Parts: sequence; C-alpha cells; structure tokens
Amino acid sequence: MVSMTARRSRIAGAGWGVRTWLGVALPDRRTIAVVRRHIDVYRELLFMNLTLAVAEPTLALLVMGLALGQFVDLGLDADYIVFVAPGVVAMFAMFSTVGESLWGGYLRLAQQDLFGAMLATPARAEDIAAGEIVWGALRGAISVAAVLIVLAVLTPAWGLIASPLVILIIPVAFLMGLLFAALVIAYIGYARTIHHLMYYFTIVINPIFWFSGAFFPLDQLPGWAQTLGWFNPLTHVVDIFRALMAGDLTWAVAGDVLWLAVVTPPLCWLAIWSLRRRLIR
Amino acid sequence: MTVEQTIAQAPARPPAGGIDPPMIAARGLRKRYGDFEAVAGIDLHVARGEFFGMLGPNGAGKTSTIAMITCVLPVSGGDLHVAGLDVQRDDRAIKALLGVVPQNNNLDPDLGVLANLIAYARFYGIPGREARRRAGELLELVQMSDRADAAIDELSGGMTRRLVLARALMNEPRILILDEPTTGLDPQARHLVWTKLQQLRERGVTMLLTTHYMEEAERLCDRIVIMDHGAIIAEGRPRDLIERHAGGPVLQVRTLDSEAGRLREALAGPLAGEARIETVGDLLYIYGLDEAAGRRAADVIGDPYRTSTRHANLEDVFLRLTGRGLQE
Repeated sequence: MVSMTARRSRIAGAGWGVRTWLGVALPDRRTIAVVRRHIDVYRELLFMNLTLAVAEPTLALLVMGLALGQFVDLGLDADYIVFVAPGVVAMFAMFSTVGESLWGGYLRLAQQDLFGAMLATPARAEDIAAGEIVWGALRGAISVAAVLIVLAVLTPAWGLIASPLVILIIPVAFLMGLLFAALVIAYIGYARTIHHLMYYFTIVINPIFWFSGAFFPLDQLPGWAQTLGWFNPLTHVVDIFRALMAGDLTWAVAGDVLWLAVVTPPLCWLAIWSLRRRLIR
Repeated sequence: MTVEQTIAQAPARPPAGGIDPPMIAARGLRKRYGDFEAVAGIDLHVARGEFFGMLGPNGAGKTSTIAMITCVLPVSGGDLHVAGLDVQRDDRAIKALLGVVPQNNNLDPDLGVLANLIAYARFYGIPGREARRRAGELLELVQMSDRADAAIDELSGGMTRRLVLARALMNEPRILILDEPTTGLDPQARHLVWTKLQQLRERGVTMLLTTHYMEEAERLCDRIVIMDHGAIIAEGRPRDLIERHAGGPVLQVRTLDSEAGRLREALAGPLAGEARIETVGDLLYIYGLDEAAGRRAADVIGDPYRTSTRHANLEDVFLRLTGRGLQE
C-alpha cells in the first residue's frame, strides 16, 4: 500500500503545473531517445560516414599544407600547415555540426514530420530541440576525432601535434558543437523553405568560417577587424585548438573557454524556444 | 519505477462523482488562432472502452480538437481532461497513455520497419528487450512479420498504414487516436485495418476516430459527434442519428450537370412541405418521401432509369446537418 500512495503522489505531482523558464520547460531524458534515434541512423551508414569523416580532412590538409603552404609565408616560425591544421580541425567540427543540424534538422522538421511523430510520445518540443542540439554537437565531436587520427598519422612528417593535450580538443569540439547546433536550430524555427537554409549558410556560417583566424592570424588585421573577430565563436575555438595542439596553455585560452561556456547556454535556450514556437502553435 | 510504469499500473485518478472516469472529458473547450475560432466551446465525453467518432467537413475543428487532446496544441479556453489528467499540466503522463495514428504517415524513412518501432519505444522508456518483444508481436498483429527488415519506402500504402498503427500500439495505449486511419487505402487494406481496430476494441482500448468515410464511422463507432464551424451540431449513436435526421428511404436521382438546379426547382412545387432535397454534385437526394409524393416526384423526373431508392445512411445525416453538399 505504501507504494500505491507513492504512485498516486507522483501522478499528482505532475499536476502542480509544468514549470517553465522564460517560456520553455527543462528537457528530460526523452532527449536521449532523440539522440539514440540519430545514432541508429548514423550506424546504418557507418562505413560511409566514417570514410567521409577521414577522407575529407585528409584532402583538405594535403591541399592546404602542401600546395597552398608553398606560397604562404605568414612570417611565423612554423610551416603554414602547422599554423593551419587547428583551423582545419575547427572547420570540420563546425561544418559537420552545421550540416547535420541545418540540413538534417530541417529535413526532419519540415519534410519527414519526424518531430511530429516524436511529439505524439511523452516527448515535448523541448526534448526534441535538446536532442537535436546534443546530436549536432556529437557529430562535431565524432568528426574531430576522425581529423585527429589523420593529424596523428601526418605528425611524424610535419610535426603537427606537439602535446597529448590535443585529446582535449574532442570535449571542446562538443562544446562548440552545442553552440553551433543551437545557432542553427534557433534559425530552423524560422526557416520556411529549403532556400532559407542556403541563405543562412551564406549570411551567417560563411563569414564565421572565413573570419576566424583559421587561415590567417587575426592579430595582423586592423583593430576593428580584431574586435569583430572577438565576437566570432570560431575565433575562440581555433585559439583553443591551436593552444592544445601546441601544448601551449595560457590564461588567454581559459578566457576562450569561458567565452564559449557563457555564450552557449543562452543560445541553447533560444534554440529550444524557437523550435518549440514552431512545433507548438 | 518510470513514470510510464507508474501510470500503466496505477488506476486513473478517480473523479469527483463517479467510479468510471471518462477517458476524454471536455467542457467549453476552445481553440483560437488570432481572430479565428477553430473550436468554439465544445463539450465532449468519451467513456472508457467506447469507440467514439468525430465527423465534420474539413476545417470543422476536428484536427484542432485532436491536437489539444494529444497535448500538442495549447488550449485557448475551457478545460480538457484525458483519463482524469489535465492536458494543461499532465501532458507527458497523458501522452504516455495515448497511441496516435496521425493523418500523415510520419514513419522514420531513415530506419527500417523494426527499427522504427524500437526507436519509438525509447520515447516511452520501454527497455530494449521489451521493445523487441512488443515489436515482434505487433508486426505479427498487423501481418508484417516478414517485413521486419524492409525499408519504409518499400512498403505499400496499406502496409505503411498498418505499421503506423503498430507504432501507435507500442506503448500499449489506453486510448487510441485515429485521425483518418484508412484514407487512401484500397477496400481490402481498409477492411484489414477495421478488423484490427475491432480486435483492439474488444481488448478494452478506448478509440477516438475521425474520418471522412461515413461508412467507416457507421460501422465502427458506438457514438459519434458531427462538428461544423468549430461546434458540435449533432451527437448520438449512428443508428439514432440516421433515424432522427434522415429517416426512411432516400430517392437518389442522377442528373446532367446543367440540369440539377432546374430539376430541383421543378420538384420544389409538387413536393412542397413534404420532402427535402439535397444536391451533391450531379446527384439529387430526396428525403422523407411517402408513396404519393414519390409518384409526384417520378412524374416530374421522368426517366425511371436515373432514379434509385436506398436506405438512409450517415452520409445523409452529414449532408443535411452540415448543409454543404460537396463544397469545401
């Protein structure tokens, strides 16, 4: 009988009202069900997914390091490939997150009505949004792990990785993944057609990509450009990655991590709010 | 113990006044979109184990009502309880009790047949092994055991629909929400779905059905409501509604396109006050004819080959009450 009472009160407990923070409820463990669905799908095409994850960065590193590197002299001590490698890692982390969340997320929302199917279960819009964000971040982390393998293979030739701290790039990539996935999901709540995605890519993602210090040092730019660069999340990511690969940790790196840690939660809130607004009218 | 298990084992919260709580109870339920009122204050009462139908033309408010019952659309006014739980607060608990067969087949196209069911089960907190057991049983129930590994886009329309039904049953729901479950199916596939639904009803599952097929509603439902412009305009058992609103035999006249209006006018005089005429495209339905009026009608119509007499059915009730023939 004791357990009976406990059950009753648990149901009654749900009746005290759904608590929300600025209009969204906290996601719960259904978030994991969303992520596991994505893992199921990823595993269906595992071989192809992993091949791509390794082949793309290999190609990019060879082109940038060998071909482009011959013509670029940044006035640094190191070869261009040593400078650019952390940028390539960050680039792939960002693109796999953004690709998954932007195209995949929109497809699931608008074409497949997959979120509609999930909403019929005990999942709320909040869980679905959170699951999308976490999965986007995981895709970034998986992709970074693959790039690190490529870098490790190339290191004896070019000295790309100077420190075991490099392994910390993976959790940082997950953090940046949360940020970028949230940035994308927040937009998807507004995207009406597939064309809106291309627009977003050009207006938002491309500038982030080019003006981040991934391919050239921002500190050689005029002051206003550096200020602008400070607002670019990828700038901080690249700085962290560069420090971890070189094994050269400074307080500035702590500042970069702090920047990501401060900016990401409100963006996640925004993304959840936006997708909820789209799903629950 | 998970919330789902708790709910599955605990009896629904007892209501203030009765032993058997209604599975769905709405009072003055409203849904507004800006100035437009899609659901204009309806009362609903669906008893446990009942097969309940909601009919109405497109835009009548059925879909909004269902969306509120399934806790995916906020209520604008009134109150709505499902299994004794308030949709405004207990959405997760309510959704754990529901199985939903939506209008569109939103199966997961990136996963196979079995994988669809397994992935869906996780949202209910059903452990993997149990999910595989239930999925196996349900695939058997919908006669798709041999298609467990098939891709979704390889399935026929009927199989797709049956798989959606199987998915809705994964959590062993107490209430099954069926939003046009047989739309687009051929007669054979439709009968198969009907048979499955009858089996489930025998197990005590409460059913809420919307459909545009009057035959389906007449055949399956214990009780129906007809909605129009966001309001309930009729409620009762199908037989009673037919008796009350359509009555005896119906004379059906096939006309040429241009002729329907003229023939209707020509009939209006001789039948004045005795019969009622509805136009549905190129068909005229004449209700409430007695023998004498029937002869007068036959004189006006002429050609006997284009008339036929049939029993009144739910479609007649629907046409009469919504008064809109084939218009949207």
